[in-house]
Amino acid sequence: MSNQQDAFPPEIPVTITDCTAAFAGLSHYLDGALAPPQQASMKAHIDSCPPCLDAFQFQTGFRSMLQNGVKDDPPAGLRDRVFGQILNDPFTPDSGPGF
Amino acid sequence: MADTATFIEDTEEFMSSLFSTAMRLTNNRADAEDLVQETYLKAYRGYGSFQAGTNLRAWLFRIMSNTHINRYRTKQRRPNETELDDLDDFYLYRRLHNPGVTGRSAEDELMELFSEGEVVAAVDALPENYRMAVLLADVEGFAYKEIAEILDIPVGTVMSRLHRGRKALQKELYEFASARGLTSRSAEEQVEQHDEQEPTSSETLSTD
Repeated sequence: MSNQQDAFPPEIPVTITDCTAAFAGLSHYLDGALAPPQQASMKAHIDSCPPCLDAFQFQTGFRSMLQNGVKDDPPAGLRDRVFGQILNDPFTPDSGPGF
Repeated sequence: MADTATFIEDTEEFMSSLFSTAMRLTNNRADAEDLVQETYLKAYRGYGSFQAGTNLRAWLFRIMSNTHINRYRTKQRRPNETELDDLDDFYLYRRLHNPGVTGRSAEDELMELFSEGEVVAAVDALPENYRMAVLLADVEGFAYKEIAEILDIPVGTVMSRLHRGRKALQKELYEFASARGLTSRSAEEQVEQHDEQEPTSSETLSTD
């Protein structure tokens, strides 16, 4: 059963046993990119280590700030303009897989 | 039989996030609207080639990314690679985080440090390759593999752009805080405690 999916990215240990490994893998953990065993052992470490939990929360908060900061609502007329253009488009969809 | 109405129904929900990303790519409302409009038209015309069951949102972002690149074939600002080498993903955490304050979420702590305008300015200051990777991962929540497909680059390149983009973003934000004198002595003490690396010489953190 052992394959490369057990450890991804390769520089992160399969089992997270200390804070150095946890810090190294934290961004990938937040990205949901670690292999499942790593993801699980990272969670276990963070849950039992207050300093790593603190760092995890800070990094999570940073992403939330980023998400909220760059959010721009589309102008009211955009939807009608976009779909109006499509409804008036001379192109007729043929029967491809999407249609 | 599926038709134009189906296309609209399927794709409508992604307009907000496409527009937000378009704003950060073009930094201009009119251009962002044009980019979204062109993206939808291309998607509509190419919908026949979209494979049902695959990720429609990623497919739309891919079209938008290609459209943007084709429109603005401007020279890519070459990021200064070396100045980021000594930094890590915890640049702000090590320098600005104050763990002593309880009862306050990390997000609140950060929002006291940075205005929305500064967050946007820091994102806009990123070289475009980095900016796109960071927006797709950190804002839109795409997986590395999806970003690789959207940008048509290998997963390893996605990871390296993300890593560098995140460092550059934090460095930019730190400079805002630093300019406002928010980088307190205690923050620097923390750096010394948690980070054995000396700040690089380009960072004159404590000279004024």
